[in-house]
Amino acid sequence: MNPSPNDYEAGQRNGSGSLRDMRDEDLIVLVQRGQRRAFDEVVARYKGRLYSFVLRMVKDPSLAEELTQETLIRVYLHADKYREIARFSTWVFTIATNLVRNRMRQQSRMPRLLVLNPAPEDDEIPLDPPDLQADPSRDLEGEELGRLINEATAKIPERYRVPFLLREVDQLSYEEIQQVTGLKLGTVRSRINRARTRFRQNIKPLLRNETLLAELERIEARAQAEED
Amino acid sequence: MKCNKVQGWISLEMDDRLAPQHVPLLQQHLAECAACRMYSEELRIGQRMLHATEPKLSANFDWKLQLRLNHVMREAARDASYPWQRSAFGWRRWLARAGVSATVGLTAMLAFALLTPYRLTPGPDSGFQVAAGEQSLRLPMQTTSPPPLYDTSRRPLNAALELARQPAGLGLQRRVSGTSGFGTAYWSGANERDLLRIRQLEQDVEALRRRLAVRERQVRQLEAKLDSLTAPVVDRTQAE
Repeated sequence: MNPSPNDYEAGQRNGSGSLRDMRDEDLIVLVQRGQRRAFDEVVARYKGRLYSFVLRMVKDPSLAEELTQETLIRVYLHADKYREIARFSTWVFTIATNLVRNRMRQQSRMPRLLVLNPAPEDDEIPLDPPDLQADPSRDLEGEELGRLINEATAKIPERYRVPFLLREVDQLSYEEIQQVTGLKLGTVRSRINRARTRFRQNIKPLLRNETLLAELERIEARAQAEED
Repeated sequence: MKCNKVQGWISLEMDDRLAPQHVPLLQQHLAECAACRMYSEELRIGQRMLHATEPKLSANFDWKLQLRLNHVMREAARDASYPWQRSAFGWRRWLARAGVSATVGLTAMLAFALLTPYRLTPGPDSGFQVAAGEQSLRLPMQTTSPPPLYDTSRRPLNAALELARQPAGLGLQRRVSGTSGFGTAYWSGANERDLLRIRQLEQDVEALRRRLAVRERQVRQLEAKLDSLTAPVVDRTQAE
């Protein structure tokens, strides 16, 4: 169902309720017409998934955030190039995957430099405001487990890690992963299987750690309570 | 059934991609094989761990995205307002970079040419000749300070320019005299023999310098001895 030209106005009147009910593919049509609020809804839907994928690829939180922003900006700037021959999520993750791969390639070529006094790229952008909603105690709780899982993920070779994360973290189907990566369906299947086996080998020591397993239970229980 | 095959099926089953006819076979194998049961259990715990530790974005992510987006849109609007700037930007930047690169390269070459000490080689007008392949020498007999053996007044740059002006295929002697601080890199000789010959000549020149210094010292000693003699010198030829 394509959105009518007045969907945006209707969304504004109804507190953007109608935007939330729309499919991604319909939202991007509104973005193509210049509806900024529709883009905000796209950001709300994809920022977490994108960040989760990118962070587990590049391992650096600030770089992951930058690449997530870059992906979303490209989605906005090149929205008119999207055609509904593939799902919108496939298109978004293709952009993100290409950005991540380019950055990783650049980093592998560049010598490691120590920047003592980095100059701001754009002096119009002020410093980050303090994150008032952050709860340090909550971060600490899953921090150790998160760090160990990130390390275990990082040890998976990149060619297996991309389809693995697209499947496990972003819940893309095999066909969507095939479109994002350009691999054959059989290759996608085997790479996901290999990545799972590697990941299992990497987390094997964690599986014997009762404290970490108890922490996993706690995190899941809290997430369930929040959903309820 | 082999466990390797079953482990592939476990992965497919986790994604609901296992063919329906394989599902009972898998369940039967899992009921019998403890290793595959553990494998399946560990994969599922790994999946739970991945989902439980999903990283959280900072709360100001939207704010930062908004700023970046505004910045990008402002730039895009400027480009749309002044399209000639955008179109000129690419080649102007390229031209500027090419100019800077060329200037730096030329400066480095000039500095190298001016600062590198002139490699001293005999010239055709340096007061003596070294015949190729001959050991015999004809040196000027002077008791005062000898004429400069090497032309130190010529700078490498001049020599290089002179060399560049010469038509190709000149004789070896001329080329030797034109060798400058640019070293062998500037040498346009057609083959390696010329270079080897030049090195040989340079060694010859060095040997000649040493021999000349010895002779000059001997001459000075003889002159000093002559001056110290009190007795008149008898000209034997006239006496005879």
